[in-house]
Amino acid sequence: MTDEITVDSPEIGEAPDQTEDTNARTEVPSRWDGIPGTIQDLLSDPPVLPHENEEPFFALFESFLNYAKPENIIDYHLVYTATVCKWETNRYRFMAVAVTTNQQQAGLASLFEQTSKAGLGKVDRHLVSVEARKNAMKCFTDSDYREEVYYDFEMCGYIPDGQAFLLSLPALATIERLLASAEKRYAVTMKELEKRMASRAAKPAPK
Amino acid sequence: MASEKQMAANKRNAAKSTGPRTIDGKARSRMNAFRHGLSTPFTFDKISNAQSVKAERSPNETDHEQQEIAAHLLLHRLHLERVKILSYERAGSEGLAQLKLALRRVAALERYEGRIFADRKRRASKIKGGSD
Repeated sequence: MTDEITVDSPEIGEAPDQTEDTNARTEVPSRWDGIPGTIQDLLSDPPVLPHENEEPFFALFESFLNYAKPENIIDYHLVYTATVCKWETNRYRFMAVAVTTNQQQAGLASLFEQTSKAGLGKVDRHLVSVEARKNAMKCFTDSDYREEVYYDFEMCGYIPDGQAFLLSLPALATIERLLASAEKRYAVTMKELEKRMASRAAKPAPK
Repeated sequence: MASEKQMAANKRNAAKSTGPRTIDGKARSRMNAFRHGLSTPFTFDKISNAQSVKAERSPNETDHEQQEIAAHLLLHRLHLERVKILSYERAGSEGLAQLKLALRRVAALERYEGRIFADRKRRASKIKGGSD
C-alpha cells in the first residue's frame, strides 16, 4: 500500500505566512471541491503546528485519498484520521532527533564538569560550571577545538553524543511512547480503511 | 488548629459568600474546571455542531454511522488540543523542561484518544455480533 502514499517530514519548509491570527482558517485547495463539506471544514483547520507547513499535510491527505478512493463520509473520515496519525508519527520522529541535537551543548558542558579536577567547594563548582559552559560553546564555534575535545573525551571513555542522549532521555521516553501510540492508531485506522475497501471491491458492480 | 473565634469568623464569612448569583455569573463559573471538553460522552448531536455536518446529514444514516462521525469529529478536536499544547511550548521558553511539561500534557490526552478508539471498537464488535 505504501506505493501510493508519499510522506514528507512535517518540518519541510517553513510555513509561508505565519499570521498573528491563530483562528485564521486555511483555504482548502479547489481540486477538493467534490469532497464532503465536513471534511473540508476539518481541512481548513488542520492540526499542524505554527512552524509546520500545511502543503505537505495536504499532499499526504491527497495520497491517502488516491490510495483509498473513499466513497462515503466514514471513508473520508478514516482517510483524514489516517493522515493525521501519519503526520503525528513523523512529527514525533523529527522531535526526537531535534531534542537530542538540542542537548549536544548541554551534554558537552556536563562532560567538561564531570572530568574537571577542581575541588568540591561551592565556589569551585560554580567556576567549573561557568568554564564548562564556555568550553562547550567554543566547541560549536571552533571546529578544530571540537575535534580535539571529542578525541580527548573518547580517549577517556566518554562519548559526547551519548551524554546528549542521556540528558534528553526523559523527554525521549515520552516521545517514544507518543510515537508508539500514534503508530498503533495509524495501523488500526488503516486496517479499518482497507477492510472497507476490500468489502467494497467484493461487492458486485451495479449493472 | 483554628480557635473558636476563628471558626466562628470563618462560618460568618462563608455565609456571606454563596458563589455566583446572577445567570451570567453562574454560566461563567460553570466553565471554571473546563479544560478541553474531551471527556464528553460523544453523541452525534453533542459533537456535530458544524453547519456542514448538519447539512450533510442523510436520512439513511444509521446510528452507528452517526456515532462514527461523532467519534472522528471528537478525534479532530483532540488533535487540535494537542497542537495547541505543543504550540504554547514553542512560543514559550526553549528549555527542555518546558518541552517535557508540554509532552506530559500531550501524553495525558492519550487516554481520551484511547477511549474513543476503544468505544469505536466496542460498537463495531457489537454490530458484528448482532449480524452473525
